[in-house]
Amino acid sequence: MSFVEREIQMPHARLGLLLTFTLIDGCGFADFARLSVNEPITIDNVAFIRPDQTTFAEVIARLGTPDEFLDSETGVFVVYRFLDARYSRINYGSLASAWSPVTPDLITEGLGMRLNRLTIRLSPTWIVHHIEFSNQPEQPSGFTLVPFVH
Amino acid sequence: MSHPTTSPLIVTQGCLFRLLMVLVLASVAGCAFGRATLGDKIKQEDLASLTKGVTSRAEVVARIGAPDRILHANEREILQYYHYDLKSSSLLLLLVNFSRFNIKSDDLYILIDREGLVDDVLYGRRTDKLAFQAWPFGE
Repeated sequence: MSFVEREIQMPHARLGLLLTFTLIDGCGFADFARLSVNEPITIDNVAFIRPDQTTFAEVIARLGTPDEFLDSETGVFVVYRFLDARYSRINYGSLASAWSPVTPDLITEGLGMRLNRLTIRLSPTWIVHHIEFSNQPEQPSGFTLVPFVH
Repeated sequence: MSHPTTSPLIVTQGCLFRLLMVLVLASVAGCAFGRATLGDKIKQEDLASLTKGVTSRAEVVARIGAPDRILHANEREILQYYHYDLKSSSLLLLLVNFSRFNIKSDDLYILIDREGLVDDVLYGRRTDKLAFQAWPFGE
């Protein structure tokens, strides 16, 4: 077989295989879904904040308005919330519908939720006292395809 | 006059591309778009009507309505109004489905001083950057 003939036939084979797997079932082999609430705030986004110097007006100008105000005896807390949740589901049993009259279910699912919160404590004069994240903001999140491993 | 000849490999690649497009179109079983909102949208003319040190609390409520939440901080009363917007998109293929749901909020805080007048207005709009996205990977 010449090089050209091989180049012609192999992509057809790959496409045929892909076509077979694509049309093998109409009920879906895999699902990937994602839910995002607000833009994530990173450490770089808050690098401009200097404790006891930066004003609340400067924070709003850079980060926007917070999601919540909380009052306490030591000052005001403002909270920015953001969420990134990823869900995946694979039904390996759906592949059997190509040759089986019964479609068994063999499903693995994974849900990863990264709910993060940036809390900024303000003094009575609306100056930033300190900031803190509830989780590591730079920690990557991904889809969990296999639920049996950490 | 001679015409340039096209190599069989290029012709084959063109056929493969067309076949791939047919494959993609055939495998797209459907798509879905959804929208949901919570709370009234905050109007720019309502914001423009608020004047610091002049507009009273009663006038704020008469103009914008009752706040969604009332808070107290730094000896001020804070009236909070919010508007949530959700956009969802799904790409439903025969073998794989992709979905993405994006939620953002607009928040308006009106600080009222001890005299019952508007002390400050904080407004942040995020929903104008809300997009329909079906691809769940990446940023």
